[in-house]
This record gives sequence, C-alpha cells and structure tokens, in this order.
Amino acid sequence: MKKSNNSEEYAEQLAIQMRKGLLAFCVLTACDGEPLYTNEIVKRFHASGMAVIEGTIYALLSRLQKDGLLSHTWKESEQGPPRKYYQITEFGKEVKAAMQIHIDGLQNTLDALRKGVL
Amino acid sequence: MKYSITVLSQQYAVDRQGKEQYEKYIQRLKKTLDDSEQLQDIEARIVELLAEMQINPGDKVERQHIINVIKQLGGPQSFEDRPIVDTAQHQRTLLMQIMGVILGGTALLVTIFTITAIIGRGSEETFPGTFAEWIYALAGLATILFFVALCAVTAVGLVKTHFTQAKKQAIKVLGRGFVISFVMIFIGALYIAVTN
Repeated sequence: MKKSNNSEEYAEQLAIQMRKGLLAFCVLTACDGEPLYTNEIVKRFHASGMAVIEGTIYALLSRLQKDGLLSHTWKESEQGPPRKYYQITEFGKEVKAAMQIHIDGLQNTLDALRKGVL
Repeated sequence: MKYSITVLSQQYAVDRQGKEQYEKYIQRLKKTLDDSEQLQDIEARIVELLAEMQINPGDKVERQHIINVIKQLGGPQSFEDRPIVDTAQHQRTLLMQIMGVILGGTALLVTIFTITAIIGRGSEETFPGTFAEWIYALAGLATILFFVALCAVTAVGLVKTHFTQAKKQAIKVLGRGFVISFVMIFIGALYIAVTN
C-alpha cells in the first residue's frame, strides 16, 4: 500500500470518528424547528454535504429519543404508511446549546492554530 | 411457487432469493434493534423506498430492488448504537468487571468463613494462638482488603461503562455481580449452618 493511500485512510478514519461525535449535534440542529422524519433528516444532511448511512441515523435517533433529547409523533402520509416525525425537546435544546459552546471553542482553537497564534 | 413478503402490512410478490434476502435482513435488524417501533419506522421507509422505485403493494419486487433498499438503508451493523470508544478496550473493561465481581464474591465468601471461625472460637482459647491461627487471621484481613479493592475496581469500571453510553451492559454486569455474590454468600451461610 502506498504511503499516500495510508494517509488518506488514516484521515478517513479520523473523519469517521469526528463525524460520529458531531452527528448527534447535527441531528439536534436539523430537528430544532419543524418536526422531520428520518428521510428528511438524511436529505438535509446530504444537501449540506454530509454523507451518512440511513441506518446510522435510525440508531442515533433512537438513542437521542431514549435520552430525552428528541420526542416523536406519528403522522399519516399521503405517499404511504405513517411516518415518525422527530422534534427536539427542551432538554435537547439545552444540550445543543451546550454543545454549540464546545464546537465554537474548538473552531476558535483551530482558527488560532492555523493563524499560528497559539 | 409464488413467494411474497409483507412490509408493514403491505404484501409484495418476490422470488425465492429475494424473499430469503429480505427476511434475513429483517431478522438481523430485529436482533440489532431493541425497539419494535423503530422497526416499524424502518419498514415504513422500505415501503417508501420501493414506491420511489415505482413498486407498489402487490407488485413484484426483484432481488436487485431488495439489494438497493439494503444499500440505501445500510447493513444491520450500521443500525447498532455503538459507543464511541475502542471496542477491544471496551471488551477488556467488561471482562475486568466480570472478573472483579466473581473474585469479589469469592473473597467475600472466604471473609465470612474467616470471621465465623474467629467468632466461633471457644472462650478458653486465646487469640492469637498458634502460628497457623495468626496466618489464618492475616489471610482474613488480606481477603477483606482484597475484596474492598475489587469492589472499587468494579465500581470504577461500571462508572466508566455508564459514561460510554453502554448502560445496558453496565446494568447486566452489576446484576451478574449481585447474583454471583449472593449465591456465594448463601452457599457459605448454608455451609456454616450445616457444620455448626
């Protein structure tokens, strides 16, 4: 295996780990507004340039719901069976706001590092 | 022979291979998911994906359609809610916890034997007595300390597990620990009762 391939794979693994951590924040952000169902959440991610496998989103939605960050309602669909719509809870909003501070802090650190301030 | 699959109360015609593939996928999902409502949601999505492929209830589903649906949703492993930690390290932590509770239970049993033996000494006997009795008493003390240390290790492990989102596993380990310890205490108490 070429060294360049190794570095790409290494970066890819790091990116996967990073995405995992950020995915919960992204889901909370997507659901902070009108209620969305899984496909709409996935579509929003794709539109924003974030590639995700739908299965990953189901698992995450389930966990966030169990932990009280999201709530859901079933709504009838004209296209087929009822859909499960997710919306952020008050607790979810608090978590999202707290995560936002961490992300902003990280962003500032990265910007400072790039500029050579630190 | 005609085959069919039922997706959220909607029937579709399918060939044998397609039926096998779909059912295998759903079975694996059932094992992965711990919420039947989640499966219902996924099945609703499958109906939707089939509709996007112009396949409506009652129509024939080709094997390739099922492959495409699985590709879109992801394999069963993508539905697993894995904590963001090194799996091997996580397994080791769990193993350490299980070993901790087993050894802790054993240590507790030995402690009970030791304390019972000390309390049960006749009043005419002096304590400490022989060299062997000294060793016996020190072993008891060491055992108690060992037990306390193991309890601490187990508790730390459980807290760590809790914070890595694997609450179910933490509860399981705790449950196993309690059961093992109580069974050992019961056996010990029974033995003491019978021998006295």
